[in-house]
Amino acid sequence: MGVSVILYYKIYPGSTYVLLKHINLISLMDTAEITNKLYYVSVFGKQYSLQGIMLTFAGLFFAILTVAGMIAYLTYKKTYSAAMGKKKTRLYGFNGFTNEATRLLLHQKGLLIIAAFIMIIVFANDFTVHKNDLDTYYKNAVDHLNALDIDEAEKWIEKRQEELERLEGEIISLGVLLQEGQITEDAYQQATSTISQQLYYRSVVTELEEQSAHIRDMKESKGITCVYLYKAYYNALFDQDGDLGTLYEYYYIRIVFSISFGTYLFL
Amino acid sequence: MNTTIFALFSVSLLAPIFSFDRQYKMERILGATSRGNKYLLKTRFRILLPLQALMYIAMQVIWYSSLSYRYGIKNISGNIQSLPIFKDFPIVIDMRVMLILQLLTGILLVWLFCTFIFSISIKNSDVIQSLLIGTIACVCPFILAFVNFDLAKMFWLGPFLAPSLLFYKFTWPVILNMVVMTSFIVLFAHKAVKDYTSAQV
Repeated sequence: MGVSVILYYKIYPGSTYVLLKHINLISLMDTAEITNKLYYVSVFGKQYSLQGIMLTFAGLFFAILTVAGMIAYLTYKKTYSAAMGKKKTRLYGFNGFTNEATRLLLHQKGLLIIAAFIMIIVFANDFTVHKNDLDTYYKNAVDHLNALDIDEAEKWIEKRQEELERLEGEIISLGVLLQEGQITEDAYQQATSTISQQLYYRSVVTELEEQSAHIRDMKESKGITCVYLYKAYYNALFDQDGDLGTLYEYYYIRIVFSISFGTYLFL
Repeated sequence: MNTTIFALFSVSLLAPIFSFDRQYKMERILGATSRGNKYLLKTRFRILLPLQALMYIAMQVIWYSSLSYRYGIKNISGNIQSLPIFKDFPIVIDMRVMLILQLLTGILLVWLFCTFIFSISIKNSDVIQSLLIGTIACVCPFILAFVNFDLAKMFWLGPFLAPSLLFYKFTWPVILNMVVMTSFIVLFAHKAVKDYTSAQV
């Protein structure tokens, strides 16, 4: 592991030895580096995708460990039986509970398994900050709307909708002006590009409008006061089906790594 | 993803425990002690069930932290009905309470899940056999769920590691599956424990 750390952190991306940087355990664990960047590595003058290389490496690692596991198992019985006659294990003279805990956690590597589990869970989850203009706008809008009462909030959303509709109307008008030859193609492109940037927030406004209808409905039909939410976060927080079932392309790397590491621990 | 890793590590941790004793005929020695197998069984349950609960809590805390880190949101106040998926939820509760409720339900289900692995371990007299059966029965369904095989999410042990399914996708097939599976695990564990504690030395 120490060598892996040195290779991973000390070899710079342009180095001749870049393959050693990526084909090691630390590189496998740093999944964010593999998954969040489109990265190519030069091997003998040819460019290969880093994801492909890592997948192949994880697969090979898993296969080697499986074979090693079989060999270890076949030879394990013999060495253990031989050791049985010589080694006297005495469990520190504790009571039954402590003895058993010591045996399960230390002698049978329970603590190691738990530590590895926590480490892998940390690596398997995405801690990358998702930050773009749309998210920032959404979160600010949610904070703003929650500070207002429902009527004011609805008016705010309505106003935003009207603005967006006006902007859409302007794009249509510009199209007409272009067809009539009153504006040049360049002017049309420039104007529509500026307006499109503002229309970029339409999805958020539409979602807030739906939330608003839901909040109104809950208040009127059940008398329950609800709040505006940043939906992506809350859906993920309560919907663990996503965690159970969603398959992202790059998660293959993580699962292969987890299984490989699990096998390694078992050995 | 987390559930698959959790299932894998639970099997790695629990499946070899009893079968290891049986493989090396240790249960004969343990059975001959003054307190016998029953005490050993209770002690192991007392050690490993809280450990499994801790593993589950750690997994959930990491998952929540990753979400908060990813989306930059820390405040989760507001009624659970604010989320359209919970609009028909019968009790009006805070989202934080809902999270705690899900966590507690999750711990209970994880204990049932672990009892099943324990029973497999008790029933098998070979570590490899125990690990293989444990993997096939308890890990493969989560791998299938992971590759979007919907039946694996709803049936067998799928809902045991995804308690949120019980809160907002609570359909009759899921209820039936939970009842059948819980009864099966309880009966299977009861038989395994009975065989283990009443074994002749």
